[in-house]
Amino acid sequence: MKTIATFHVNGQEYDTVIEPHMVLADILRDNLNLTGTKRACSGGNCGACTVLVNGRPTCSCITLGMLARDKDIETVEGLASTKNGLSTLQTAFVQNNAAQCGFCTSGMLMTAEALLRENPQPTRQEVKIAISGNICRCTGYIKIVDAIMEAVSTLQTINNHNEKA
Amino acid sequence: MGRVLLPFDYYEPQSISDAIQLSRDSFGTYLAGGCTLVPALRRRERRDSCLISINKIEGLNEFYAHPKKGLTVGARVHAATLLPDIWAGKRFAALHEAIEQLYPPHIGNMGSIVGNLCSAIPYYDLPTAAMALNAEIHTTGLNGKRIIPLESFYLDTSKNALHDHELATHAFCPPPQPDSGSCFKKIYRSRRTTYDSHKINAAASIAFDQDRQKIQYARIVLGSWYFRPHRYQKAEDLLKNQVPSFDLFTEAASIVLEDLKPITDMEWVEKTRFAQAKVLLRDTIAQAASRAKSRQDPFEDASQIIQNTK
Ligand SMILES: Cc1cc2nc3c(=O)[nH]c(=O)nc-3n(C[C@H](O)[C@H](O)[C@H](O)COP(=O)(O)OP(=O)(O)OC[C@H]3O[C@@H](n4cnc5c(N)ncnc54)[C@H](O)[C@@H]3O)c2cc1C
Ligand code: FES
Ligand code: FES
Repeated sequence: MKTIATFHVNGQEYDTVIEPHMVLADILRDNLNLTGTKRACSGGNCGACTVLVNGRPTCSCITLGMLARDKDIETVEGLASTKNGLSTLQTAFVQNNAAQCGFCTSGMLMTAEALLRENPQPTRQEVKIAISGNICRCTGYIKIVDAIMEAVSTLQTINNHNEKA
Repeated sequence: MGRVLLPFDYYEPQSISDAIQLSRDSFGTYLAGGCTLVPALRRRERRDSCLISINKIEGLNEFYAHPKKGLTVGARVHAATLLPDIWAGKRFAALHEAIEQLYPPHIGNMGSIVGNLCSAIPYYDLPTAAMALNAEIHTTGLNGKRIIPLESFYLDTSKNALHDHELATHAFCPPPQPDSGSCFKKIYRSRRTTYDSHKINAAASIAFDQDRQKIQYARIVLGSWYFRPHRYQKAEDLLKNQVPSFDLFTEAASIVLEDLKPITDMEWVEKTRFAQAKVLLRDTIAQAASRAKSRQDPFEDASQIIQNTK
């Protein structure tokens, strides 16, 4: 039973033909060509496919596309902007070598993005808890946590600067 | 695990009666967040040919937690909804803690509490926590409404007491006793061999008498052992009218262990599980008792602040 569905991704509307058994990760990658979102375990266990649905980290591999229509979806492609380039969080990942194979990175970034929006000054422990559902087989996590903490202080500096200005 | 799901029919009714009607006509399965259902379909453990989403039905997203009115959680309410609620954290702590410890945490944003309870999966955590809070499942079916206590809700692995086409509309936990506290804990580690049972969870509710000296009421639940969580009444009776102490809690945990049967024929697995269950139960009961004894509600805090500023 094919249907035309509308998805709101990174502030843009996409109309695409889907079937009810398609999961969000496949729709993003195959229909909308947003291949930043990765798929690894396909069972909700590893976090590689994390996107934000209405601002909340969500495993797109076990979310049926039908349930994600009419919701605000954000993927890693939405973090960078043509005007400002990579986001502060992405820059911190690059500067801290927080990615090796990179397969976990987009999910990690989305989870971290949600955390920083909700809690702009998390402790190291809070960062570790927040990303505990995102598995990285390469880095040993230390550089990832370092990167997120660096982004926290950069964002803080920018905020202080903006307040003074 | 297969990468794709097999095709199925899909409906999105707008009302409870439409959902029940559709379920009767198409023999469809209710779908909430899909966290149990979608992986099971992908693993081909289930082959449902029709899913009926409850996510467009009005009135299933009610959520409130109140010390005098109890906790009501509609069938569409995602687990993480409970986390910021102060009353859920204070007066329904066992369930709050079970949700806090959902692993991975993303699941709380996607899966519903009612869906977790309806799944009847032996190693899920929320049934254990909810049973300690005396939860019940409210349903609507072809023959009207029913209330099913969680204690009689589980018939077998993946089998609950819902009749064909019956929809769970919400879960309800009655208001806790005045001087009471609850707690949930689990031991979870990676499975090393196929025989290695990797999880045990426990929850307890304890209430004190008016002077907060003696235990008046206790509910002790151990889960992830058999196909459903169980209450241990002998241990609960032991605690009643007693002054709390570490030795008392250890004895209560030992009494639970007397009733437990090994679930594998691997001696080392059972030795480890029994030892873990004892510590887990003792600490869960102790924490619930400590919360009951030192209970301070937000409105008590607020009234104190008002008194102090007068
Ligand atoms: C990777 C992963 C990790 C997890 N970790 C944990 C954990 O640490 N602890 C834990 O306790 N749980 C855990 N879970 C389980 C998770 O919490 C549940 O799968 C989820 O809460 C189920 O809710 P749902 O809304 O997704 O239900 P669904 O998957 O939509 O439904 C589950 C079942 O309940 C039935 N159902 C749902 N709603 C109703 C209704 N209103 N009336 C009648 N029947 C209904 C469905 O037909 C189906 O059979 C985990 C799941 C995954 C995928
Ligand atoms: S691919 Fe979705 S959680 Fe692993
Ligand atoms: S960088 Fe390879 S999995 Fe994280």
